[in-house]
Amino acid sequence: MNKTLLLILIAFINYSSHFTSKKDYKEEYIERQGEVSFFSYTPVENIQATNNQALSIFDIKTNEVAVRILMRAFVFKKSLMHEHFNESYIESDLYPEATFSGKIIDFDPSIETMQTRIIKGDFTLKDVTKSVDIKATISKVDGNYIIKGGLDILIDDYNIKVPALLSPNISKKIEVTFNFKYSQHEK
Amino acid sequence: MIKRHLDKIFVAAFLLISITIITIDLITRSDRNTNEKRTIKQLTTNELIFEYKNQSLGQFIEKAIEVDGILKEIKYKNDIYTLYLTDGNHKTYILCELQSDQIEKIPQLNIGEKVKIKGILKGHLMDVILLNCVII
Repeated sequence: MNKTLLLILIAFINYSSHFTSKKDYKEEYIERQGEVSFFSYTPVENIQATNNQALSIFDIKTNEVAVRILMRAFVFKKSLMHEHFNESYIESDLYPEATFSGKIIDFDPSIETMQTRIIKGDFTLKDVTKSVDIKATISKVDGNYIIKGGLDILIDDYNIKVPALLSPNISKKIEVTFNFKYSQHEK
Repeated sequence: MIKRHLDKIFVAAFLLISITIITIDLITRSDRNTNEKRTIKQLTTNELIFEYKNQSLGQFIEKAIEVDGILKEIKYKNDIYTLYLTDGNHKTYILCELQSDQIEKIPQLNIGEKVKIKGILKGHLMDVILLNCVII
């Protein structure tokens, strides 16, 4: 009888620990509508666009971050800018997304306060992939994560051709910022 | 003779002013109200997800479509409301970013109820994405 009780107890402990480890295993976080903005400053014209359609997955076990940005979802002040951006510069029909895949260096998920870290990875825009280092802050708020940061990209690096007539209006260096608020990913 | 010259000058000036006005309008025009755009297709959420899985969304990109489905969630971010529509079967949703003039209709919406929207299809990531949506 005692043996049976002991076996039941062992089985229960095994089941409990299995359940707990499964619960703790939720290490993937998702942002379905991340914000990405870009700015182009020139003496002739400032161009700004915002996109709330960036998908990102953040794995706190491996410190890996993956991002997909829907290029057609950038919103401009003027519709003609939107047209030029998608049809002439980005060629959104051919390259509908920009992507990033990288890893946060020295990120420690046990730290509750804001961490400033470098995210090293590959950024792909159109048909060009470049290695980039992105300075970002990672905060934990109510058990979820917020990653904010920015990078500068050179249009010549990504095969973006601007007609000579419009080149005074568009900066060679584009300032990109992002703000992702992740929540636990329930698959 | 002088009258003929004056007529020519008048026509030339009229054409010049017209071209200038049209050019300025084209350059500064913001996106038109989706209500004014012609709907090219009416679909259910299920049909739109089917088109996405079938990789045949391309035909509707940058076009106005009407979609009806069950309202799963309303999100508010950066002064923009987004409706999440579901067909109840898939984990893929239809994300509809609302036009700013739709805010007054938000209190009339109820989660779990059927809703019909019209929006501009932009493409897909994990979900199918429409911008400048209006509730119809």
